[in-house]
Amino acid sequence: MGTIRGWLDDRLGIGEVSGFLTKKAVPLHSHTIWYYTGSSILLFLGIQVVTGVMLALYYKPTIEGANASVARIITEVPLGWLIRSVHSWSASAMIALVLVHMLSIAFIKAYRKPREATWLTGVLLLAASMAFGFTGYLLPWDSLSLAATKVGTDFPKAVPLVGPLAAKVLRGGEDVTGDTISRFFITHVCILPLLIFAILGLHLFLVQRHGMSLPLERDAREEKPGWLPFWPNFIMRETGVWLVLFGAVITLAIFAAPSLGPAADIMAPAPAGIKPEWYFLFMFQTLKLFPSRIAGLNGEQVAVMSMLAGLALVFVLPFIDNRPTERKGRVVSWLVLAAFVYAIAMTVWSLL
Amino acid sequence: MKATRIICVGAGLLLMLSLRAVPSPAFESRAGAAPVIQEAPAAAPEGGEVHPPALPPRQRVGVIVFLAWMWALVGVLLYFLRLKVREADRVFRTGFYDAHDAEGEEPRSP
Repeated sequence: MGTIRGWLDDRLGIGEVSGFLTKKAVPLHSHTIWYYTGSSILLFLGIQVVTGVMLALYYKPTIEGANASVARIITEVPLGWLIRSVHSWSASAMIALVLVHMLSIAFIKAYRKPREATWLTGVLLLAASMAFGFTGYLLPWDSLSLAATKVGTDFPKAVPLVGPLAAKVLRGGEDVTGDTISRFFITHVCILPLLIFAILGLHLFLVQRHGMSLPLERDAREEKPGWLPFWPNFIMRETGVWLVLFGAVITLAIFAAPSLGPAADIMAPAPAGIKPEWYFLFMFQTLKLFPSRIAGLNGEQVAVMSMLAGLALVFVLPFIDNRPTERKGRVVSWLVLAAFVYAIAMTVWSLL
Repeated sequence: MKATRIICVGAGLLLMLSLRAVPSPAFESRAGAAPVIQEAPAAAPEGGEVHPPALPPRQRVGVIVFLAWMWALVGVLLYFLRLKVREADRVFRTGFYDAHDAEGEEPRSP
């Protein structure tokens, strides 16, 4: 055993990695609980990769085969329904945790200097996670997913100049067809994973580079915080959280497995009650609230541009609130809280 | 010696070929069980939604037993993790890591 370890250590430098982990310290304070959200996202990403590969073994990204292959996964493949259910629940849990992680960062102002790039990569990871959800939603090719994708890919059309071209590139033509399925499938299983792992690598590097942030009051008092070694103290606590989350996802997947709608018909009218995934509902509801004309402008265009401006503000938040760390930034906290309450209210409204 | 080896190999090959040539029910049943590759996709569900198959009572009990076993395992693992965390924290409080720091190695981050 020692020989194998020595052989691996000589070639891979495992000793250096374990030395790095034992020297890594995690700040210990009343907000330490938020540090667990980051690692839990990694757990769900791992589950997504494993279950996604298993589903891809049976899935057929064609207009004739997409819905039928998902039906086969649910009804014929041994435990296929469970794998699909875990994939679906784990995706939702991952996006929920990404949102919670970002909210915690926004509230403790951890995006300020020198962690601006960490925030930027975090927002890109959120966008990539949502893109995973959006592309994955079409793959079962049922009537609801087709209609929701039609609405979703109509969004970019409202953007002046590049919008129509972007919508055409997304759909692989003028409308959502079989080409869109293969396009979304390749994006879902190939392009986005490459992208997310590249951004995640950079994000984790930046977290190691700048260390974990401290709450403002600690920084303001310049108080030396307590700390905990990452290995083994913190990682064992994290393992406990992972075990509970894993158990919760398996339980949910067993008792609330998602069903599959009837195969989509491109020529059929849109069914009643079109809804995207829950994390897009607030945008969907906002879009519905806008009138068709606002001060002589196209209402949909105004809505899409307003939402894009909101997303751009989130992206550049570290450059708007670039004050010294000792300033509390209550205005930003209230704005973040207002945006959070708005998103929850719109989501609930859309579900009613 | 060499001749014996050649005879043995030859006899083995002959036995294998003869076995294959004999109309054996074992071979026939295997040939019959060969998977048939279906190129055409399975029939798409028409009309209603497709739900996960309703499990027979025995399998339903199996799922409940599996869940109970999983949560019991999670509970046991959490118990042992708690013991290990306490032990690791105790080692940390005794200043084991400070001894390293005293040697000029500062803990990384924050």
